Amino acid sequence: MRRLKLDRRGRLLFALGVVFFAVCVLAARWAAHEAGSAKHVMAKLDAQRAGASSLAASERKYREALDRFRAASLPLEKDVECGWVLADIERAARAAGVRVTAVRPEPRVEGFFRGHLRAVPYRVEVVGSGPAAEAFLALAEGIGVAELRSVSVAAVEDPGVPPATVRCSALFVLYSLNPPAREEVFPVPEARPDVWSPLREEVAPGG
Amino acid sequence: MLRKPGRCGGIWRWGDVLFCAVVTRDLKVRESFRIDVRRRPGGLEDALAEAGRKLGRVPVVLSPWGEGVALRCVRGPKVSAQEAGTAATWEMEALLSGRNVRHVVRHAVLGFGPEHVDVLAAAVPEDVVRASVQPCRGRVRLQAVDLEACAAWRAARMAGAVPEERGPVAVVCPSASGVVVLVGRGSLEFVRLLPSEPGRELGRTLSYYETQQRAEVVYRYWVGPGVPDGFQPLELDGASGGEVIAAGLAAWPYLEPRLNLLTAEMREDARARVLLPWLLVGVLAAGAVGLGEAALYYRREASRALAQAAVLADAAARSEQLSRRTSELAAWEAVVRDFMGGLHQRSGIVDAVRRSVPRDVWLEKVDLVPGELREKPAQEPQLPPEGRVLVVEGRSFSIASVGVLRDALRQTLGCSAAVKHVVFDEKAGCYSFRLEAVLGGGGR
Repeated sequence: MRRLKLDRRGRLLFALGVVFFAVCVLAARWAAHEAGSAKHVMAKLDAQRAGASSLAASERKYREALDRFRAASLPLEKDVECGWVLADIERAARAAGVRVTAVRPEPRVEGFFRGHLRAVPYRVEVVGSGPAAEAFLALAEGIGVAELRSVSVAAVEDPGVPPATVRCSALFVLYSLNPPAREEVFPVPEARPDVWSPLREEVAPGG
Repeated sequence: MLRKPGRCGGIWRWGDVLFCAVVTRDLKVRESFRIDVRRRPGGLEDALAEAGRKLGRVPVVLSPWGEGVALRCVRGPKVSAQEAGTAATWEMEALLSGRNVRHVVRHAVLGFGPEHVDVLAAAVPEDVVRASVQPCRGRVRLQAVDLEACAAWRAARMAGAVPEERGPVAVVCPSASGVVVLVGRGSLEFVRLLPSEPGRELGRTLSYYETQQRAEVVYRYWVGPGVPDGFQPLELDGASGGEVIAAGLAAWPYLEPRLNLLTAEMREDARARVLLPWLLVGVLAAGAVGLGEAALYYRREASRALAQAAVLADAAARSEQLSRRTSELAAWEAVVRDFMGGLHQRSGIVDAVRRSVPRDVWLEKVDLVPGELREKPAQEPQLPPEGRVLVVEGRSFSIASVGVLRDALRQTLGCSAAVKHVVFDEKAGCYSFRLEAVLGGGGR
C-alpha cells in the first residue's frame, strides 16, 4: 500500500469505491435478510389463506369425525362406576335364578389400551344351580361393555344345601371411555325417617 | 473543437530529469519544478506519480521520449489548410516509405504567405509514442503528446522573442532525436533536425537559412539546458532551462503550432482509464441504491403480508384447531374400534363344558384361571389377567367317559386338552378326575 501513491482524485475515487462497496455489501445483506423475512411471511400468509379458505371444509370434516366417534363409542359412554351396574347385576341374577352372595368392585384401571379407556373390575359371587349360573354368566357379560376375565364354578356339598348347587365366582371387567362421556345416576330416593330400623319385607330399590 | 482548460501542465524529459511546468490560460507560468528520476525509489513511474500529485488535476502535455523523429517544414503553393496538410502528409509518408516501422504522422499549418503556405509535418514511431504514454497511465491526466520543436517555438512566443520585426529569430532546443533548429520571423518558417552533437553543423544550418532567405538571423536563442556559445538562453518568468520547454509543452492548448501524436486508440484507452474508476464507483453506488430499494420493497411486501395474515389469523387458527381435533377424533375412533373388535365373550365356555360332559359324568369344579403370566413392560396400566387355563374336575363311573370328555372339550372349545389324573375313590365308589385345557389366544 505504501507504493500505491494516488493523487487527490485517486484518493477520492478509492474512498468512494470503498464506501460504496461497503454500502453495497451491507445493502446486499440487508436485502437478503428482508427477502428471507418476506419469503417466510409470504409462506405464512399462503398457509393462512389456505387454512382460512378450508375453514368450512374443516368444520364439515370435524362434524363427520365427531359423529363417527360418537357412534363408535356409544356403548362406552356410560360411567361403569355408577349404581346402574349393581342394579343390572341383580337384574341378571334374578333373571337367571341365582342368588348373589358378593359383589366386590376393584380399583379402576385408566388408560390401559394405548393410553385410553377405563376399566372397572367387578368380582361377583353367586349361588344356584349349574344351568342358572351359566345363564347368569351370559347375562352378566351383556351388562354394558363387559368382559369375563376369569371364572370358578364349584359344587357346594354343604349340609342343608340342595344337591347340584354350585358356587360361581366370576371376575367381570366393565369398560368405558376415560373419562366417561355420560354419568347415568339414579335419582335421590325419598328418605325414611329411621334408616336404622331393620326392614321386615323387601322393597323396590329407591322405594 | 479544442477545449482550452484554465491551466495546463507540461512534462519534458531530459536524461534522468523530469522538467515540469504549469501554464495558465493567460500564458503565465504558474509553477515549475524538476524531479530527479534517479532519486526516486520507484524510478520513472514513481517520478511521474510525484509529478502528477504536484500538478494536480490539470491536463498534461508531454513530449515523446525516444529517437526516430522526422521533421519537415514544407512550403507549397497557397491552397486550403486541408489540402496543404494532406500534401505535407504525403510528403512525410513518401519520406518514410522505406522504413518498416509504423509511424504517427501529423502536420500543422504554420502560416500563409502572399502566394505560399508553410506546413510543419512530423513523423514519430508509434512505439516511441506508446512507450512515452504507457508510464503516465494512472499517474497524470494526459491530454496530448507534442514535439519539443513545437514546444520551443511556443515558449519563444510566450517569452515575446517572436514575432521579431527586425529579422528572423533562431530557436534551438535539444531533444532525444537530436538538436532541433527552428527559424522564423512571425511564424515558423524553417525546421531542421541535427545530430545530438551538431558542432559546426549548427552554424552551417543557420548560414544555409540566411543564404536561402537572404536575411540575417538577428537573435539566436537556446531553449533547455546546456547553452552553447553564440546563443542566449530563452527564459520565462518562473521557468528557466528545461522547464522552459516544459512550459512550452504546457502552452499547447493556447498557442500554435501544436501537434498531437496521440492516436485515437491511445486517446480512447486514456479516456477509458479515466472513466473506468468512475464507472466502477457509479456501478457500486447504483448497486447500493438498487439493493437498498430491493430491501425496502421486500420490507413493504412483508409488512403488507403480515397485515393480511393478521386478518386471516383467527380463521386459520380455527381451521387448524378443527383439523387437529379431527385427527384426534379419528385416532380415538380407531382406538375404540380396535378395542371393541378385540373383546372376547367367555361366558360360553362354561356352556361348552356342559355340552361336552357324557351322561355318566358329573362335575364338581370348573375353573377358568390365568395361565403362566408373561412379564410385560409396565408401560400401560394392566387389567386383571384373563383366564386361559380351563380346569375341569368331576366324577365318573367309567374311565372311558373321562376320555370322551377330554375329546369333547377338545372339539367344542377348539383347544388342547389333557387328562391330569383319573383316580378311583373307594369311599364314593366312582372315579374322580381332573382335566386341563389351555385355551387359544384371547381365552377362547
